[in-house]
Amino acid sequence: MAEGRLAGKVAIVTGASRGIGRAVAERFAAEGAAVVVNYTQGSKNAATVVAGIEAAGGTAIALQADVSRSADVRRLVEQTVERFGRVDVLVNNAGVMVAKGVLETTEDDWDVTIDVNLKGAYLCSKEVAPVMIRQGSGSIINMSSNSGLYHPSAMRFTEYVVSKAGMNGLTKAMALALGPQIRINAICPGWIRTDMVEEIDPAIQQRILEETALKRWGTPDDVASSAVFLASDEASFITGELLIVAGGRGMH
Amino acid sequence: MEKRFVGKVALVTGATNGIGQATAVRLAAEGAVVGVNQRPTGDPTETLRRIKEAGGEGFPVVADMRDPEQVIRMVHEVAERGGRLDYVVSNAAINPFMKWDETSLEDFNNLMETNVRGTWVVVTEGAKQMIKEGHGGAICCTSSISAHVGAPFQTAYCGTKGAISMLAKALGCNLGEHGIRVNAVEPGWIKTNMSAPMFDAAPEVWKYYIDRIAIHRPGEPEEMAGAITYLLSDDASYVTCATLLVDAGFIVNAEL
Repeated sequence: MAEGRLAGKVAIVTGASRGIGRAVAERFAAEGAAVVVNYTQGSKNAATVVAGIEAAGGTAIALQADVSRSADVRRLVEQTVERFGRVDVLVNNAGVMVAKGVLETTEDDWDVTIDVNLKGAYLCSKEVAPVMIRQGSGSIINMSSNSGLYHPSAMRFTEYVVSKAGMNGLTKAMALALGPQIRINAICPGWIRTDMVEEIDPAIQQRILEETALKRWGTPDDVASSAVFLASDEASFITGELLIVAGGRGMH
Repeated sequence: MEKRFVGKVALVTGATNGIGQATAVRLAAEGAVVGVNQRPTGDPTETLRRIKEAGGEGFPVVADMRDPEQVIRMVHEVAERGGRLDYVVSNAAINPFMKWDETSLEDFNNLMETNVRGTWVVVTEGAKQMIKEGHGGAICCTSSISAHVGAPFQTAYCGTKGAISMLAKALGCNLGEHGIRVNAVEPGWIKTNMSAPMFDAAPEVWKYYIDRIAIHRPGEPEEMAGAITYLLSDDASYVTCATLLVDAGFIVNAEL
């Protein structure tokens, strides 16, 4: 049996073809989990992630599913159980952000953001919950955002912030509804160096770093190691909690 | 067990029992040399026995958290005996169950001096030592769910825990540039001597708490140690100024 803190566990990571989801999938596999690398459109990227995990001696498969469609989600969970027999960890990571001012956004922008970020987490959690309850245990991790919290760190991309604030409420309500078998927590990352950051005005980048206690951008790995903690039995008494992984951003 | 703290030195205050004891043992089991703080009347024997049993290394250091001079001396003693200082777990606290109108000024001062000023002194002195040594480090304060919700027999205590959570956040802002992360854990109902009065409470009180907690049981000190060592470790490399509730969904339940 594989060694590591997630040895013997089966994990679904949604939106795992790149960015934070990819780092989580790779880290989970390195800790001994069998990982389902979910993607919507990035089949090539997902295949690369799976190949990398396998080359490192891990176990992974890629499964396509649009998390905002219930039929897709049902298939995702069915195929996972078919292949691995169980689901111990679900990471609701798939997300989109429309980088427009609120007056420039369209109704479609709102719908797609809420559907993928919020409804996606709801559908996936609902679909895996019966499996986890039957097993007697499970851990769900919602990839939220520092911007969805109440303290002064919100950004102005309204649909995104609303979807993440909703995700925080989802986390707490589902933690009550699905305990004691399932633990549900959210990670609220601050600014993580992904493609999204590269597009920001350099002057604003500078200001963000000044307002971050650790004076650096986060990396997808910074988030992945916290996800390992929440997924593992180390976090056995933690549920309904929002874990901020933001390098001290938003505290000044 | 994975050893995340080999070659590192830690100070854990209030380490003779409960959460402090479990944390000291866990740190030592994962390779750290641990200064086990006891108050002058405390007994570190059991903690040191468990550290030895886990194959770890630790030594007792005496300080009354109410006495800043003793606390400062203790920080230097740990750095000297251990050869360096990487982690401070500010955990020592008192929680005398009493009604608000039976809490004397002396009781209040005792609470503030032990829980808040003691935390401030050990954490700031520890940070100064880490900055002098130039290698960064991590600090974790034991706060409480009481930083967020009131409890009838713990009124002044709640005030001290609110202060501790905020101190961790504010200090984190200042220490980031030195590579020092500062966080706090906020335990819910954990089986310790401190929470013993709750176990002696009437069955309906017991039932109220168990029903409210999403996983329907009190926590173990070892589960707190898991959370604290996560926050100290490189797994939490981008986590600072954060408070982590470890209450199994107690606080989010307003249904009852």
